[in-house]
Amino acid sequence: MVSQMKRSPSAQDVPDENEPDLLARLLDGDEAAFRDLVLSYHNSLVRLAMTFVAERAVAEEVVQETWLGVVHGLRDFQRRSSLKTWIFRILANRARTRGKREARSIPFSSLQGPGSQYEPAVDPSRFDARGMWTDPPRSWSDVGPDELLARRETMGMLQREIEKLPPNQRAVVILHDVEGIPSAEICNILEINETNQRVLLHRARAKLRRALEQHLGNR
Amino acid sequence: MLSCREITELASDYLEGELPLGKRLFIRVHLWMCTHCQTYLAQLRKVIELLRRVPKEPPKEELLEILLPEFRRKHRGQA
Repeated sequence: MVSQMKRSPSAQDVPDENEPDLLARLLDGDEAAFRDLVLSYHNSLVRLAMTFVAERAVAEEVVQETWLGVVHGLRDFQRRSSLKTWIFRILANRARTRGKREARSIPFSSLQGPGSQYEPAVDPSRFDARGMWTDPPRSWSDVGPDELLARRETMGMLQREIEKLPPNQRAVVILHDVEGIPSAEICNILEINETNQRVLLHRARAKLRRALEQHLGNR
Repeated sequence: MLSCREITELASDYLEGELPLGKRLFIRVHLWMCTHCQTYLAQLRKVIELLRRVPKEPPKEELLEILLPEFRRKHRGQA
């Protein structure tokens, strides 16, 4: 079992273009395909569940229920959305119900609540009265994504900053930027409209950029 | 003419291709003239690139020990 837990490179992501093949393998009872599927999405599912429920243990329970739902519902999967979206929607529905039961209901349906009030992308004191930079950003051209990835403390910081985002911003950035799910499908999963989705994504990215800027400025 | 501050508020939508043509052109003209905003956009792109590659922790072993037999059972039941 331990060897099965190790992630193969293919488990990093299950590309959407391979979905028909993946689905056929799953319906054929291919355990390796199912294992890769779990390894690919499990982390993001837990993170998304945490935006609806307070406790990590409860989030993991919801994710386990989701996977069991996937196992039992696979044959009825209608293919009206991608398999990934279907799985994330099952999770969101279960987590939402669980969150309500625990009286932790996130106001995803509106731009009210934490993470929804206006916050500038960049500290206004960095612009002059005409809105032109007085304290411009410094170039990160000397640090490529590969180098940043290699820095464990940078990726650790980024993950901690994702956890610190208000739940609605966190949910959108995980689905959009970490999982690459299209905006229209995210609106469907989170039951929000397109404008809300764009605003939440913008605020989350702006906040993560600020955190990275601060981190790299202090290196 | 858009200000730099406005560019930072539109940058995410711009990268998503979500803005109408007129606004996109205003942003392009601004970016052509403003290296600071070019840097801002490059930073935002880098953040998005890193998010795509956030490392994923494997689930607890017990989870697969529950799920795999269930997957096997379900398939056998339908085979």
